[in-house]
Amino acid sequence: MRRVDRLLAVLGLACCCTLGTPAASAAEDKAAIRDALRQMREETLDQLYKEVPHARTQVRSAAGYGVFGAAGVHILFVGGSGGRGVVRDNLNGRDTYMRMSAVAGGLGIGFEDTRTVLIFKKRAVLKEFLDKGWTFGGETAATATVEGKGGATGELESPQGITIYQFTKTGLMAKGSVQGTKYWKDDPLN
Amino acid sequence: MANTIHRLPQGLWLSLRRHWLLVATMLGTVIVLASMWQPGVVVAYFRDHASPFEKFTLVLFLVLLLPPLFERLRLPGVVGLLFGGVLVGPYASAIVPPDAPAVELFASVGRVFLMFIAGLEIDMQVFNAARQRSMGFGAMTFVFPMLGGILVALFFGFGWVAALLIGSLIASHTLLGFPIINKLGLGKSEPVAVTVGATIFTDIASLLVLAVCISIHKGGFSLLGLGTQLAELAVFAVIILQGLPLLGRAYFRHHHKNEQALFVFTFLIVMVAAAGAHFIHLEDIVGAFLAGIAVNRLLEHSPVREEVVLMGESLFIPLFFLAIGVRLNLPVFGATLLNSLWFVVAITAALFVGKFLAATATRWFYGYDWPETLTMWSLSLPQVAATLAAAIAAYDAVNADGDRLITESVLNAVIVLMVLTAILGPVLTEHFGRRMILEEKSDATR
Repeated sequence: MRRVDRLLAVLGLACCCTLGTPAASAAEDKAAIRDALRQMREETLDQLYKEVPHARTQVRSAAGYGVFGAAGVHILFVGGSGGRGVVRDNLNGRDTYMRMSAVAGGLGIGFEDTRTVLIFKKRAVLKEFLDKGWTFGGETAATATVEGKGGATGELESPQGITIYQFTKTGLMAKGSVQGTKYWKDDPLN
Repeated sequence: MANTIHRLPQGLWLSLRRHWLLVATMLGTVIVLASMWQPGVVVAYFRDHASPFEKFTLVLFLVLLLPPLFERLRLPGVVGLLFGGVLVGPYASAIVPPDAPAVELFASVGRVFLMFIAGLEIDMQVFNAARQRSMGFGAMTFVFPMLGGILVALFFGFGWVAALLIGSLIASHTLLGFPIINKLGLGKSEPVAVTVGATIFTDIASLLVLAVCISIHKGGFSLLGLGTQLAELAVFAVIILQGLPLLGRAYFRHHHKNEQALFVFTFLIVMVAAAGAHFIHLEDIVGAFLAGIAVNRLLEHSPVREEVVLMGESLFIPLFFLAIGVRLNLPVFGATLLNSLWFVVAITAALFVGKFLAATATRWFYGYDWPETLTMWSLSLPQVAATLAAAIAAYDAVNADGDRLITESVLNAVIVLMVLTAILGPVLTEHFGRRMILEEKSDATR
């Protein structure tokens, strides 16, 4: 083999290593994030079922459900007032990974420590949430069912039929809010 | 009073006089019990104080009474058993807890027996008599609904493995209308024999797809993994299909006078085959089905066959359906059905259209007339035994991420499909069977 050929071969190998390693590493990162999100979902649901036993039936009966947050999972944190989550379609069992962030004025201090469970009663709403993304406006806070109306303490209900539970480190929030929170599909993770 | 007594029919009067002691005792007991009765007292007793033995007695009552009652209402007995399960389950009287070990045991043994009897009832002589046509119809009545099921599942966003499994669920069938056809005197007609033969094909093929799908779901897809699983299945099938008859013949030769030992031996064979399948990561129902085929010839002329079938059909299988009813979470069942209504409609349409296309293609290939074609179609519609057993096995298959192969929504859709086809299938079979007879008569007079 001529010296030039040898040099080209070495350069080629070096290029492959430099370009290939970050690609593999990115894939590993994505897998790690997905694992962390699923883990977060399990923990949050366990906590929800412990504090609100009837939520188990709500989740099983729903068209789908999502769990969002970043508390205690450093890898999920995208900085500022953002977070990640995963939405499960109860019909086909598919998980869709999503991102969330607060739009003007929204979530305030301590947002990074909250976890949110969204339970979609209607399939059409779930599909819209997944396909087009979603922004909760003021109407959700207005229809909070703290007591009466059949809702458990800490249970919010959006007019579109999304039941919402929010947790902090200490447990279920008595009066949470998703007002001003935007959700959209995390394409690189899906 | 004396006049009233004398107005009683002579037979009843004589019977009352002969059994006066029993009548008086019963009357006294009823009066005492009626004086103690309060609303809800019986349910409260069974729920809070009854021993497992008493609860089992109640369950046996339901097994005895509900299927004939539902059949009188022209509904399948299976629906009566599901209803019975719901009645004693947590959403009605809460007498039987859904997570009780006894419920799990009977559900498992019943499921295994269901598939064992499906294998045992495979009549290879019928299959061989119309082998080519049975294979032809079997392949078409498997492939058409399966393709329909796969397309529907993919449309609703299922992954490939789940879609394949859902397709295979509606590709098999249960010959629920066969007793009706027999009653009409068409049991030995060729289209019916071909449909019976085709059932063998669809049962085996759908169980094979189930085994492969569960293996891929649990371990991920790799050619090596799939090859290993298929090789294990092949080895297992050879051991069961060739080994069990040999072992069985030897045992039956030595103990042919001891019917009790033969019964226990057969029972043991079913359980060992099911456990063996489990050991190589196959579903227990696959092992039980193969065991049924394996001992089919061995038990052909043995009274043990009748006893095992009787035991399975009168006890274990009804208890399996009852256990499903107990575990049916009614609020979740209703809500998931509403949420997945279009999926249920689409999968039902895929079944009806797929089976119809298969029957029509068979008509085109083999020259059957329309009443014969539609009888074959209606016979191949009911989705009871293999479908439900396979759906439960798929629902129970959980991978490393904790995900089930099919969701609760699909399982509930299968239950709806089962009820719907178990009602419609036999009704259609009777209708088209009668048309088949009329067609035969008009052919004879021409």
